[in-house]
Amino acid sequence: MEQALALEIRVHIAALAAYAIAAGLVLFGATMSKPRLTKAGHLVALVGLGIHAAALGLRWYGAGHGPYLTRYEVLSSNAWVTMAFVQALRLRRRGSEGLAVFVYPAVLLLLGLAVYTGPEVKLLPLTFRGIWLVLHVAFYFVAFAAAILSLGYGVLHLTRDAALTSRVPAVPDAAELDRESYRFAGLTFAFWGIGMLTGAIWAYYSWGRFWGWDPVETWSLVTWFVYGIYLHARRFYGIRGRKAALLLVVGFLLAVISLFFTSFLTTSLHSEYFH
Amino acid sequence: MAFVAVFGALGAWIPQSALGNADALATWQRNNPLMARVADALGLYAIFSSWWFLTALTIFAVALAIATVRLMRASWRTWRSPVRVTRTLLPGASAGPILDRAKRAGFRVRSEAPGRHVLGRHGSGVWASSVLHVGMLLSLVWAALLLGTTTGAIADLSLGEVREPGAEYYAVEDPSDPPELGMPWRLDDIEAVTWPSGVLKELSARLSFFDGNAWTERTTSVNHPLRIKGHTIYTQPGEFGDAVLLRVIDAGDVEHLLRMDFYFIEDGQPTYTDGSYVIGGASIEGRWDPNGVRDARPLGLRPAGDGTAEPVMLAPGDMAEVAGLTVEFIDTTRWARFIVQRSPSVTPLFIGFAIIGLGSLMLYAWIPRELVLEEADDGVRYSWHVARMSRAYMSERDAILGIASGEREGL
Repeated sequence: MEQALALEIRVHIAALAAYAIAAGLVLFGATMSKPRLTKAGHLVALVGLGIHAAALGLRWYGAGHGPYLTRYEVLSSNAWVTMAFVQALRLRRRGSEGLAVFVYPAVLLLLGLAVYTGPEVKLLPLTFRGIWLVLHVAFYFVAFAAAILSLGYGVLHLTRDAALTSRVPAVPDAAELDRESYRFAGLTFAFWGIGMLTGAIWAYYSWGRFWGWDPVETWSLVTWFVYGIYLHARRFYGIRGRKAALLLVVGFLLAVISLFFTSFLTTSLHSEYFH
Repeated sequence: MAFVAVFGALGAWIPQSALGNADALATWQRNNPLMARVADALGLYAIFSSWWFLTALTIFAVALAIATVRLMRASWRTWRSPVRVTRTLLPGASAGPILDRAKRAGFRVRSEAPGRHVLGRHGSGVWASSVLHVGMLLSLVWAALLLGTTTGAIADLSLGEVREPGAEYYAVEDPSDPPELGMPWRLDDIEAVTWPSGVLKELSARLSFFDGNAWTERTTSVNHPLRIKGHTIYTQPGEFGDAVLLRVIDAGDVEHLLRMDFYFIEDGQPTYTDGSYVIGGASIEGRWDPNGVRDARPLGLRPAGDGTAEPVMLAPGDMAEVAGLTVEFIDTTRWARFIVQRSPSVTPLFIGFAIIGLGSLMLYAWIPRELVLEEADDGVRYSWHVARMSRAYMSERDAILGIASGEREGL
């Protein structure tokens, strides 16, 4: 197991290097209008995803639990799910390549932060052993990945006329960017909600209450509400384009605060997690 | 939603006194003196139990109920609506290839008449918003019911000890209405499994309940509470350990039986009493060393608060003088504290959660589409309807109809 953990750190760094190369190639290829470089960047990202999966597998084996406890594990898993999401999207749907300009650097940042925080292994606390926690965390991973994609489309929409994105041939038109950000915000809302509810079930079985206005719970609810407000604003009040994209940015900032900062800022039952 | 979100965020930022955050609240007040004065003046230390926040939640629930009814009516109308009139003509097209392509794309034939075909996909998706809102409403109402009616207490038992109905609890949430199973129950065993490092891996307790005829054994463990007679009994990871049973004779020759508790320590090192025990005016504290790290005799006793005093060491059966008390170490046992909660069943809440989950996924993944084809002399007339995100499905429409993207606009 110790050997697996020692190897896992090196494999993680290899994945980080692959993502760095992929992000560099995609950004350079996009800004310099070199489609072959962009294509090579996507290929390197795909290889990086495989390496990253191996790193997480080794971590799982070495730590004896899924990669969802420490900052290192959570950030790395978030990065992997996001990259897997964008690769699946890219391979399945034409016209989504432009998203890589935003998402590859974001994934690089997430994994870089993970490696920076250090790979200390923690034993799973007793109350963390259970299927509801696994579901809770897994749904949040998907929700956060969807939030990054949604934000990516939103930011591309906001910067559509800016120097960088206007030169990227794969970036779709404004209407499609707007529509895709809406689609992924819907997915964020769905999975964030389910993640929150599975968390409530876990809390009931572990702590004897399903809701306690704990700061992390409350921020999570606030984030869900803001995504709900965004969806209602679009569907019933016709808010589109820049205004909608700006609301998404707010929602994403709340998601980041809720997932990564709240347990540091205040005393929370969730403090055992992500430290 | 916006009101609840804004004040929810505020309540997450300002430590809430009602949630037992005394230390965090004091620290926050020290660090934010100006905001602390504002929060104090506006009563922001108990946001989640304040009348205005509860009123906002109630308004939210009422709005949700109204929205749910309206959505259900709208969904019903859409579900039952007559088939749309075909308007757009595809000159020279025939229905056969279009039908084949639609079926390959997952569309099913809803109705067929000579020369007229109605096809659809994910028709039940029209209910998505309604399902989501019904789930939210059910969850919100049941959550309010649970929060309003649940009452809890902490029962403290040692091995073999029977808790009789009406006996006092270690702590109780509402002394006027404590939870009560109405039957004797007993702690039979506590099983703690640790990792090689000593960290707790599993914890379970065997309890027995007397129904008037016989004792029935049940188990409660961390993450798997025991539900019995409208009550839920939770095991707590930090609330168990070893205990020693002492016979104490005070200076006035009065005999006392004492259970001295020690919390479970993960690393196997000696552990100390949490506070002191006062008997006949004298106060003592203890050290428990079951693994013989410091001394072969596991129990050490000394006068409370005297850090310099060398503890008197005892093994089971030993007797000694401590702080003017005569203490006999009778036996060892184990103790545990259980949360006992009386509440309605939580199942409807979880059903509400499941409905929310289903509605969310339906909303995202089941986008209802309908294609109506009418054969005409000069081609095929069609209507295409998508309930949500219609522009995202234009390419699907074009592929089924066999027209180039954007060609429809020119037709």
